[in-house]
Amino acid sequence: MHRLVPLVFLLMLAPRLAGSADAAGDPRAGQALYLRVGCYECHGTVGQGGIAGARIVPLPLPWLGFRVYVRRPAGQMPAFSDQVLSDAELADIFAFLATVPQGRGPGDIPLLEARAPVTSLKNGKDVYAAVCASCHDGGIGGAPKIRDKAAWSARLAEGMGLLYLHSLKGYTGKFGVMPARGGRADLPTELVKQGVDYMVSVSN
Amino acid sequence: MDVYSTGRPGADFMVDVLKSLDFEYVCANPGSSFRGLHESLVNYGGNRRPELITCCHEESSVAMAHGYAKIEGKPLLVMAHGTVGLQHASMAIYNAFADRVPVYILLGNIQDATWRRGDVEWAHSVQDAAAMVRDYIKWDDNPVSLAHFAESAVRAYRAALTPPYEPVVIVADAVLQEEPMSASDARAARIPKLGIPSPPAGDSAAVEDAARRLVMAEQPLIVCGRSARTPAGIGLVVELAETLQAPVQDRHFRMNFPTRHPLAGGSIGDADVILALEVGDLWMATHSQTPLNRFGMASQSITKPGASLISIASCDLYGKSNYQDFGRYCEVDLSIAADAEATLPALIEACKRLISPRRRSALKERGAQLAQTSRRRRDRDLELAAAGWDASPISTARVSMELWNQIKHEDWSLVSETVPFFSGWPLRLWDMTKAHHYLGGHGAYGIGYGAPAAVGAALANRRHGRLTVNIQCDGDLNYAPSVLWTAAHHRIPILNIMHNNRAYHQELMFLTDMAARANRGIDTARIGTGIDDPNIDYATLAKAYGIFSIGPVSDPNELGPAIKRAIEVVKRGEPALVDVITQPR
Repeated sequence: MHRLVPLVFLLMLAPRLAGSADAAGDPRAGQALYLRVGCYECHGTVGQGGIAGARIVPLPLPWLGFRVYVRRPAGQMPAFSDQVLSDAELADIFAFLATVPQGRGPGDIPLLEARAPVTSLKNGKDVYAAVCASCHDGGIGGAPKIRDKAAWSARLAEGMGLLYLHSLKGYTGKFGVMPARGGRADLPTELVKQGVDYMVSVSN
Repeated sequence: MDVYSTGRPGADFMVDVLKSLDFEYVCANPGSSFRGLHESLVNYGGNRRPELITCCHEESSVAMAHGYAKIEGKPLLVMAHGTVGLQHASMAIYNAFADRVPVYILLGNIQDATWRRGDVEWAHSVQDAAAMVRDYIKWDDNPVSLAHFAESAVRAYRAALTPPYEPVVIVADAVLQEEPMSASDARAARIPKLGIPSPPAGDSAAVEDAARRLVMAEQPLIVCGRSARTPAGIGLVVELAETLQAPVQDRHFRMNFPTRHPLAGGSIGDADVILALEVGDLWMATHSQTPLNRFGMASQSITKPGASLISIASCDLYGKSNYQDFGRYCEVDLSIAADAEATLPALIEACKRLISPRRRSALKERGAQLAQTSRRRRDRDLELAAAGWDASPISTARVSMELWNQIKHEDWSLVSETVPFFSGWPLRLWDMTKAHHYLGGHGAYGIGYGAPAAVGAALANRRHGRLTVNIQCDGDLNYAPSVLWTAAHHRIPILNIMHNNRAYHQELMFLTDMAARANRGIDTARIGTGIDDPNIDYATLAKAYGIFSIGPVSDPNELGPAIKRAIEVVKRGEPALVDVITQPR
């Protein structure tokens, strides 16, 4: 716990420290150093992180905090003293990391399947698979399990209008908890209803 | 006496015994001490059930059996010299032991000194062949007659498949193999019936106690180590989790719980009741240690004060003490010495009985919150996966998703361990639901497991028509790469994607750590750890062994087409390899 205190303190001061020290290092020299002294081994060659080290692009700390942290890290990172890495060398590494482009977000990478695009959902069955199944397959949060006639007949007794309303606006009550539109705010009303119709058709 | 022929050798009877145990294959690097059995298996046994798989290293033989057993749930047969063969195989046997996997090993030996001739037969003979591995096998014997062989061979199989599963060894004396059956054996030898014991289920009072604690818990957590001993084990954990609306933390020593299930996740530190199912490293799971990589550092419990820990584990019924794979002693409030999968039906039934309608309402709300937490965790993983997406060397997340994109509609099977070396991306991002989707890892961190275990698993998957995928670390492959030839020779379809980071990277990181701690030489870590200068050309290596290959691929945009081409080859029933230059982790 005591190791986290300097980090927390620095993060609180980060906005004030950000512009307060001269960290003018050489990014080119910094990249060579980053590879030579082994920062890439845990943090990756573009600071993307992984199981062995945190993501450090974009830089999570301003210059002063970065310098303090490398000398006295909080986690599994070894400490690099100024005997093995001078302030000037650290400044070069910092400058290099500041120039590494952040790259695309998950929403811009189709292979990451951040969520099935609405345009790919053609009918109620598609909506079910992409949105509803995660809870209605297993009855999570009290969700009536698909094909469970007894569970669905209790809901149907209250009428389709109320079913649509709960699916669109969300529900918290005696049956359980459901987020509005199954947690997909981008799902058009018509598709939500088609998802409900599909579940009712196979569960009734 | 006719010295030129022996008629029916005793090994024929041994083959009869082995056939009664229904081994599908026998993995072996040929050896003179079991030449009799080898010939009988082929000419008398018809080279069928078991079929001989030619291996170029005994470590490959045993590791193939290790991977195979995790798919098929039963052992493969391995044959080896009782001395030099066993020495080669020993690390792989230790891996299987630590991973609780059955492997059935037959060792050749010439017990009677007066039957040994030249120096080879003397150097390859031993008084007690199994002695060097006895600390990490469950049972062994050195039969002195064929009748004795029959009884011990059947007993060994039974021992291997009584939970916890473990490797077993039988010595097949070479004279018994090669000489005709003696008169006394002819009178006594018979093949006993095999009866595998039903797995032990937990004591009923203890199960009831566990159910009460779980049902009344505000924040229960289920932690799985090797809980799915068979594919049915996954459904049982799902049923328990959904009954309790409790999260499940899968430690991935097997495929225990669907990766995208909304209840996947949970935190030990938040739980008031923790149910550990076959968790071998329970102390590790419930404690944190000062994260600095230095031996002997302080540790502390991460469980909440007053939290109750329940363990169901078959390793409490059996274990050995010399090798320390059993881990640190963990204090447990309710310890049920039983097989978790066999105990779950009673536990589920007890929980269902104890959940009142009022309690059920409270559980529903918990389930909904867990589903939201699960979604947020996935979103966070996607953010992290996007980092370095277009980098070269290629990010491990990019490799994972390029692969996923091409296999997700197939009946696929990932047969490699991916947590410490590949940042666990397939487990974090792929939709894993079936037992063959993930096999866990090496057991004892003996590197060199990966390549042969993958080929063994692919051998098992072949008859099911599955697409076997192996993310292959470069360091691991270099121990015994000849298993690639075994895959080519036996037409074992497997897609190998190299995780080529050109180093023994774990040790490389450790060296930087040591240097930083000593305040010197932080730029020397590649000495003794780098696998470069020259870079090994794995595509050419694979071709040398007869495998289709592409590479090296270092441009992420070329990865998808390379994988596609390799999958076309694998779907024709052949192995393939794509050498990918990757980020270190």
